[in-house]
Amino acid sequence: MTTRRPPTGPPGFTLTDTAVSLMVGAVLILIVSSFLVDGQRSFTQAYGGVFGSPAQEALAARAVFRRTIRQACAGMAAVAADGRWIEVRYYSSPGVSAPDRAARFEVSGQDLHLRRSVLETGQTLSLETVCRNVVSVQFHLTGGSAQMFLTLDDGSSSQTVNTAAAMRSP
Amino acid sequence: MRTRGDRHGGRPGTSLVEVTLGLSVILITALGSAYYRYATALGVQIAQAHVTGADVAVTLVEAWQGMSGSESFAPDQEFASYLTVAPATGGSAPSGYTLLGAYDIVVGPRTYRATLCWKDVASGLREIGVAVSWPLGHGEQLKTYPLTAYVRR
Repeated sequence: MTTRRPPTGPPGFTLTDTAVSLMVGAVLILIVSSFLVDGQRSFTQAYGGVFGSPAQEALAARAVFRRTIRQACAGMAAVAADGRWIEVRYYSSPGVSAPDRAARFEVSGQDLHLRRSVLETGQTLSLETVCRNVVSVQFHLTGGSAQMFLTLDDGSSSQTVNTAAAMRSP
Repeated sequence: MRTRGDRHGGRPGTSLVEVTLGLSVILITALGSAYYRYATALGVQIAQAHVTGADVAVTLVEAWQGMSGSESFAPDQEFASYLTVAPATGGSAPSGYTLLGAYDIVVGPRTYRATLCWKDVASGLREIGVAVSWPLGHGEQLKTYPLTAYVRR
């Protein structure tokens, strides 16, 4: 029969105890840290996808494009041969007998602009930046509707917008 | 003074219960963090797929509306320069509707199935419908986004 020998030295951790526990602790801390960092990264990515600049600008671009095109007159739109701009015509008020305003979506640098002007004189009434961080944009006409294929990217997240609207005015 | 080691009669240090409890806390934290990461990434993917599916449906139905609901509307020819569109087989229209066609549209990493159908609901008024569906994960389950519009003819 063997009996356990009582410790002969002063009570405490041995060097082996300390080394092993430190190693185990370090490994656990590394594992948990990697989980936390990945979780934080996923959350940041998710937040950027929902609240980031491209996501917000994509929402704005969809809304502005649809609203503008729906206001326009069918059969009076023009689009660039390379699809970089589109121009539609619309009525400034219900009392006007013919379309007297023009709205033009065009890319300038990395910005998508909406320019509203007087049809007869060409005078610019407003120039609105619809969205920034434009990587590519293509406009297309199908009968009485217009389509926009837009890609936004600010370096941290990207958004693709494929949308269309039919021109409602006669 | 009595020390812990003296009380238990052995060497001083942490007991097995204490070590197990500590490891359990760390394990639960790690698992919770992993689930949080998984749920976040999955939620973003589902939301992005839904937004893209809705975009595809709006693009198709508004373009078709622009052609007054014409039966010659062909998305694979119309959007060939902008989207990856190919005719698909197996689409079916609801009872009372006429099937225009089914198309597979690739946007990003996913393929969306668009089924287009129409019905003349009154003289000079046509109902056009687009149903866009895409797989949820890798299973058979599909998410569908239907959209209906009316056009005067």
